[in-house]
Amino acid sequence: MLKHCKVIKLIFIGIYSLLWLILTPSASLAKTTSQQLLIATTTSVDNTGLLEYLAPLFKQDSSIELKWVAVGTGKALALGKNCDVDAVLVHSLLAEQKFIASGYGVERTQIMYNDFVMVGPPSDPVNIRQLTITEAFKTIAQNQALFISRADDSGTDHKEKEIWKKVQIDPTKKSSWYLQSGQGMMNTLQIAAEKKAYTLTDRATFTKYQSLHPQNTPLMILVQDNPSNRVGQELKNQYAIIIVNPQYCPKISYDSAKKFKNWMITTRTQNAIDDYKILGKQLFFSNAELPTPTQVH
Amino acid sequence: MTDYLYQSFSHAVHLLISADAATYAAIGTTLKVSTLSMLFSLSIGVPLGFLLGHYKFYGKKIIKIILNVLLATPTVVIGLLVYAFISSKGLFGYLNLLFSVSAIVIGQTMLALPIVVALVSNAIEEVDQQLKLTLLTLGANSVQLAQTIIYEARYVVFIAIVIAYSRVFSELGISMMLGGNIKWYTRTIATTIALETNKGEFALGIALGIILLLISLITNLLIMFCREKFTVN
Amino acid sequence: MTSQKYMSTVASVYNITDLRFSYGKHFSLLLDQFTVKQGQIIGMVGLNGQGKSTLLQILAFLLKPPVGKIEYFGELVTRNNIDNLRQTVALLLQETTLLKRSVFENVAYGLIIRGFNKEHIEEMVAKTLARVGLSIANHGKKQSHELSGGEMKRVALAARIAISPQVLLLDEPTTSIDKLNKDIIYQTLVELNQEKQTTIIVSSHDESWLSKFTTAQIEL
Repeated sequence: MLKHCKVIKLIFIGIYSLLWLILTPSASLAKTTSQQLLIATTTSVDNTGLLEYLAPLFKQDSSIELKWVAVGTGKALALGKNCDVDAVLVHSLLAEQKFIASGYGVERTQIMYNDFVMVGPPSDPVNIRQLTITEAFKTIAQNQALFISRADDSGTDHKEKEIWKKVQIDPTKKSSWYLQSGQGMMNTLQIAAEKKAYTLTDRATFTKYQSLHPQNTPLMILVQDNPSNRVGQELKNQYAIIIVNPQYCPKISYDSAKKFKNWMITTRTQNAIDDYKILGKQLFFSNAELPTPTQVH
Repeated sequence: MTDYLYQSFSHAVHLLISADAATYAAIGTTLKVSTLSMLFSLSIGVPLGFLLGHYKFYGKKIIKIILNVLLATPTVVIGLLVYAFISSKGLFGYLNLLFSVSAIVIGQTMLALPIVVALVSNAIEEVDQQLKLTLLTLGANSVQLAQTIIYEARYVVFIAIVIAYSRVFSELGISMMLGGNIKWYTRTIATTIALETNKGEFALGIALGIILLLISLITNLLIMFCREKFTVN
Repeated sequence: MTSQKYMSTVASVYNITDLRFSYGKHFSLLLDQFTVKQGQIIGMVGLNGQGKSTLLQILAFLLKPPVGKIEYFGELVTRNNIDNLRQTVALLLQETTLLKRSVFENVAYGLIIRGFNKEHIEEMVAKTLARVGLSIANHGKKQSHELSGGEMKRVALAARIAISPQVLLLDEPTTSIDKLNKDIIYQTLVELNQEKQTTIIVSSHDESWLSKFTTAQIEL
């Protein structure tokens, strides 16, 4: 009777081991070996598929395999602080500066940008169309129009909070009009659509959202930086790489991280970033400060 | 709405038949982590459950209360606790376990263990007290006693397997926190669904959900078959 | 009944002196002197609660009395040898508990844990089932929950006979058993005693049943 037990257990183990061998790529899964690089990045980058597009190019040039975890900016920086990743790719200047000042990160290098936009229902209940972003925020608060905030310590959330600070309004007390979703951008857009509310979003995610609702888009862009001048400051969404400080975290793969950083600012890579399009629309605009020729150091 | 579901269903079939590499990688990872955590939680949990159920000792009631509390722990909390240990700065950071399949297995084993212990200990307690005496009258020593009693309660061990497996198979919090949802390596079906849903790809999410259910069905059938083969009742 | 002279040359299976066993405040068992000779079939009578089950469990080495000296085949029973000695005594409990398995597996259990080989086990199980009036062909594969009360009792008895014990103890084997099964049981015991000189101690309320086959009696 106990013999049966063992036989069947062995069959199970056999089947699953077989599946294991067949279905998963080999390669150890620990954080880093000299040929792997683990970075933390934000969901907005990951969801666009940019890294999936860049990773094979990086591997070709450097033989380093890029792996990434996609979490909110807050968590990405926390992972960096805990030495769990080798570098971070985030988009929140103030948080980044604090991170570096605390000694957790080094060599901040800006890579690319796009912009945020304010979206809302086509009916635009409190008429924020054509206002500047600060005026729009003020109007929404004064009229208590429904507004969905991500409230998840993400880059987008940071940007939103910066603007509230600029207009000296603190909406975070419990209120009937300022709703905090605590979720990712796509989910927050869904909520805004359902509730016919305003929200701040990055353009890339909104582009994706629009592609999912080709007819009767429940939301539309109401406020954005002047399109002829893409370097409008207020809604600029700047992405940067920060290497985790090797003096604070001696075990990280500093060399690989440095190679990645240098590779990202080469002319060739910067062009590749500009070439990345979804549905014919460019999502990221390269703006590394000193583009260098195509050599990886 | 119905053709939305139909779309998902045919998408699911397409993914499976076309041997979509990412999907199959996710399936493989899911099977790997859930089976390993099942094996570990059973091999640790069944003997522990036996000890808890069989012996009377001081503090038994307290342990049972703690067990019940553990049963209700949210997966994120378990993930956080394990993270604290295996993060680079944690006690076991030097093992480099974070964001690997092994990390997920550790977390999921923690998840399944209380279930197995609780079910098995209850069953052992239920087992006729006369049984122990009977086995002694036939000359069983303590090891043989334990083995035979566990075998007598095997029906419940199967239930424990099924319940623990379903808890582990589709869980999200631990996989995300400890695995990092890294494509090809630590992405499970459940985390893929979460990811795609967050990206707004609902049809794909449902398609993967269908695949998940299918695999769960097959595995449960296998377990049932095993159960039929050698339990009475 | 055998003569005094013969009795003194037969081995003493149990030689018990000054046995004291108490359970809580209300119950205690006191036995100043108790001797059992090999090959005897002893009946035990007495009202409920007087300690018949307790004494049987003590004789089966499942309980150790705090006070008292027990000699088993001349050897003093201590903590060190009690586990070994237990292997040679089989007790049939009042409440029949069978394993959730087939009849064959139930009877074979004692032999399996003692490590006998397959052929020997099959042989012994067949023989023992035959002793209790069951056949391995008809009953061997039946699951324990498919049996009648009397059949279950006989299977439990067979399980204990199969290990060829020196001593067979039975605690109220006739409770809720019909007359037919009662007769099968005592005939099995008599045959066993004749063939193997197995010492048997049986407790029962049914004194007329006991008188059919026991050679001595003890009253608690």
